[in-house]
This record gives sequence, structure tokens and C-alpha cells, in this order.
Amino acid sequence: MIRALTAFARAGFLRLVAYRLRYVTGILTYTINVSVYYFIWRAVYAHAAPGTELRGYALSDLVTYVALGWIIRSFYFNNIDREIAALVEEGQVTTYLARPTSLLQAMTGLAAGESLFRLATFTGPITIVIFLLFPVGGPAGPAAFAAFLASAVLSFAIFAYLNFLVGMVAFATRSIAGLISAKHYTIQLLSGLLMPMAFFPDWLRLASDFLPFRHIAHTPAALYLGRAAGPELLGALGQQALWAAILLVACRWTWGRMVRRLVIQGG
Amino acid sequence: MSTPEPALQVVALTRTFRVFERRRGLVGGLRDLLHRDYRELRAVDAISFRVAAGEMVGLIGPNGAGKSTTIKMLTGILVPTSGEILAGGRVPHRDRIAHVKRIGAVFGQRTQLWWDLAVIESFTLLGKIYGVPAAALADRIDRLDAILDIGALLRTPVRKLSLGQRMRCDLAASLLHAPGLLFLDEPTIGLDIVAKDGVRAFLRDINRQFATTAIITTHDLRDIEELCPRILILDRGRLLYDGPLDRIKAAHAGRTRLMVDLLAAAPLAALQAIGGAAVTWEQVGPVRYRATFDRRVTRPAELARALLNRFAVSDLQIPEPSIESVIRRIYAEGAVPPPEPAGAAPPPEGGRR
Repeated sequence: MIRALTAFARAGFLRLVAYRLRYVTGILTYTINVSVYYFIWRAVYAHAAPGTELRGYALSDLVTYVALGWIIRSFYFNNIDREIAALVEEGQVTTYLARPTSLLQAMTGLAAGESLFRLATFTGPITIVIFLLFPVGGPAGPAAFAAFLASAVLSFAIFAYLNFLVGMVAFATRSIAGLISAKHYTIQLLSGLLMPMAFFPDWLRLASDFLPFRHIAHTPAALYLGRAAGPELLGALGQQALWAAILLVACRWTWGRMVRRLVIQGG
Repeated sequence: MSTPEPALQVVALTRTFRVFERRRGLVGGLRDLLHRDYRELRAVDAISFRVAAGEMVGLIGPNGAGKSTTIKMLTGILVPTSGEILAGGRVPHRDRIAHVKRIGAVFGQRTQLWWDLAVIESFTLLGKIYGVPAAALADRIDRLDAILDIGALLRTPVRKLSLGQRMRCDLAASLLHAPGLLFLDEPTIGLDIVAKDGVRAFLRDINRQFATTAIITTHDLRDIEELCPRILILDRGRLLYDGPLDRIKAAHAGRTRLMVDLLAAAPLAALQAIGGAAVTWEQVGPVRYRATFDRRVTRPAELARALLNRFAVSDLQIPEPSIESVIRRIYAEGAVPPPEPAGAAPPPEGGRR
């Protein structure tokens, strides 16, 4: 079980080595994204006195928040949903059913390998470029930094499981291109990648407390900034871990049902 | 001598699908939104057969005959509507994971290798999935390399392989975990003649060396001739024939055809003089003629010699009947040769519909 998972991870790692151009354009894309939000936030704070805080964030905090959000995105990102949609379209799911492995194991394994690859080769350079170009602050302390690292790993799990669930819809509807792009924007907004939850209207902030999305970008960045300490820090990590566990159970349940449906109805 | 345990035993296997029947026209389309009409389709209809260990069996039939549905049920990824399958003491769909661990499957149209990975990496990954120890895997790859000659391809990404090379690697991939039962769905589809010959030779070697039981579906009669002493013919879900290929061919020897192109047109009567009443002649082109005869009465070679002696012949051929035409004739004429006396399936029930 675990052996197969690490084998998939190895394969995912190797698979990415094949694409060098994507690597270079990736660094550029991420730098541009951070630039855009950096200048937007600078414009927002332009007429305020230096040191002004909006909704509890100074400009320097926001720059750090946005930069960290993109830096960890370069690690946790994957295309599991698209890959499943492609498998369904090509009728390749049969191949997975005819093997002693589950699609969930295969997909999360491959994605984990890709993420480790990106962490080693991609996240590093992006971090350096972003820290050189923009005034990004350091972590609030060693505990905050450790919590941030653990949180980023949980971001990977939540993002991967959400993508897997979106991919599962492909079995029912054939084409999920629309759903994938809807999910993309939902996550971009509700994960807190664009701005901290504090900037949301009250009702949306309240709603996001009951959704898994904010744990993808907001929780790790907030931990880095030291917005939660002591029991609160553990509480934030615990909530994130709980969501990862809930989504994992949901993925397993959905895949199990999908297998039964495929096997009984014949795809 | 006691009868060995069969590798595969199938009894009255049936699978039906519910097919959505569309109404016609605009009003019909609107009514479809409210209420759908379904029709029941019997994709596989009460087929029974057994396969002995080490046997290579051809599963043939026209498109829509139920071959893929049968293979899906045998591999455990589709639940039968009724009937039984027993493979190595297991019911495939009830024990899917345990079953797929000891079978191999190659689908000619698809690859089971990872597109962007070097072949050896896909092999390593498959080895892990099937729980093959590293040393055993290396040994297995060596042995497969000796048969399939894939050593030079191992470091190449799958997307850069030719179709023939890919098929060899796919065959190797399906055999890494030493499966006792191998399903090959059109293993030579899309390959050129040289590659087809290669794949057939590999399959024979694999069968000989590893005693792997194999079930092969194909549209290519040559695959069957060279690989499968025994064939199962399916048509519209029913098992029409279970026995050696030779007997099917013999049963159709009465409709052997010979095509001849002459350099100049000749009167049909002149051709009719050849072979006598046992041969029926037709003109099918400006200089092309077709003889239909029973090869048990008239020897094709004698017919050809007579033609060459009396006419200026530019081309002459005795085409093999295609699987489709043989099956179509079996179906249309109900001309099923008698079943094997022992071990074979009972004849399809109810006869023609």
C-alpha cells in the first residue's frame, strides 16, 4: 500500500523532469502573479499614512501574505481533476480497474511526487526571486515557521483531495471543463490566495469558516505571519488536519461508489 | 489421468444493458426529457466454456458480438447479470483486487504504461503495484527482454516509441507479475506486417516458456491461425462455436473462392469448361472472374494449373475468408459444425431466432 504510494510519487517526480520549458514559464508566471498583487495592494495603501493597518493588516503584512500564498502554491498545486477527466475521456479508467490499486492512491501518489519535485526545483528559485524583488518579511518566529511548513503539507492534501472529488464528477457528466474552471476561481477566492479572509464581507467570511478552501492558502500564510499562537496555532493546524481527513474519507467513499457503479453499470 | 483444474470456467454467463431509446423528431425529443424509454440489450447471452491451464483461445466475432463485455466480466471489472465465472478458484468481480493481481491484460488500443515515463520506470511502478520483489522483477525483465528484445527501449519515454515497440513493452508490462491468465484484446491492431509477425512470435514464446493461459480477441484471422488452436465464435452475444479453427474452415471449404484476372477478356463458357459442373464461374470485372467451388471435391491447385495452361493469366488468388464472412455465413446458414464430443460447451440453446 505505502510502497505503491511511494512508487507513484517517484513516477510523478520523474514525469515532471520531462518538461523543462514549463519550468521556466512557471517561475515567470508566479513572479508576475505576485507583482500584480503587490502593485494592487500598494495602490490600495497609497493614500494611507505609513504604518496604517486595514482590517488588521499593514501593507508589509499583505505583501508577505500574498507572496507566501503563491510560494506555497508552487508546491501544493496539481492537476488531478484534469488528469481524471482525461482518463475518463480516453476510457483509460478500465486500465486502473484492472490493477490492484485504487485511482485515489495512484493520483495522490503521482501528485505527491510532482509536489516534491516542484519543492526541490521550483519553489526554491521562486522563493529567492520573490524575496529579491519584493519586501517580503520573515516568519513571526520559529514556532510560526514550523507550523507554516506543516500547514503547507496539509494544504497539499486538501487541494489534492478536492481535485480528486472534482475529477470524480467526470464519471457522471463526461466533460468537466466548466466545473474545473469554476473550481479554479472558487479556490482562488475562497482559499485566501488573493486576500486574507478579513477583507471579505462578514457573511462570506463566516461561510468560509465552514468550508475547507481557506485552509489551502489562508491558514499557512496566517501561521507564517504569527496570527495564531499557542493553542490557537494548534487549533488552526487541527482544523486543517480535520478537513484533510474529512476530504480523504469523502474521496475514498466516492471512489468506492464509483467502482461499484462502473462495475455494475459498465461505465 | 485426472482432468486438471481449468484455468477458467464460465457457465451460462449473461450480461444485459439498459439502452436508452430515443424518440424521433422534436416532439419525441421533448417527451424524452419527461420520460425515457429503455430497451434491454443482451450483450452476452448465456455463454459457457472452460479454458484449460496453458491453453491459448481465440475469442472472435464481429463488432458488437459481446467480446469486450465478456472480457470485462472475465477480468472482474464488470458484474455479470447472471451466470458464473470461476478463475483460479475465484469469482472475478466478487474478489476483484485478488483476481486482478494474478491476471494480465493488454488492450491493443490503449497503453497501460505511463506516457511521459521511461519504460523501465513504468515497469518499476507496476512491480510495486503488484508487489513483485525488486530482484524477481529484474529477473523477469531480463527473461522478457530475451523474448521481446526490449532492452534498448527501457530508457525511452513511452511517447517516443513506435506502435510496434510500444506493444512489445505493453506485453512485457502485462507479464511482469507472472500472471497465470492473460487477456489480450486485439494485440496486433494497427501494427504493420513485420510487427504483427513479431508480436505473434512473442506470444507463442511466452505461452511456451511461461505456460501462460491466454484469451485473445482479434479481427485478424492470421492471429488466430498462428496462435489459437481453439476458437470461440460470438455473435450477438451468443456463443456460436467452440472448437478448433480447422473444423470451421473445413466446414466452409464448400465455398472456397478463386479470383483470376486474365490479360484479355474471355467468354464465360470457356472458363466454365474448367473444373466442370463442380465449379461455378462468374464474371466480376472486365477481365476478372470468380470461381466458387468445394475444395474437398476440386483441388485449388489443379484449378489454378488448368487456368494457367489455357489462359493468359495476369493475377490469381485464393482469398482466405475473413472472420466476418465466416461468422456471417455461420449465422445466416446456421451452419455450426457439431461441438467437440468432450470438454466443449453445449450448443447454443434455441437455435436461430
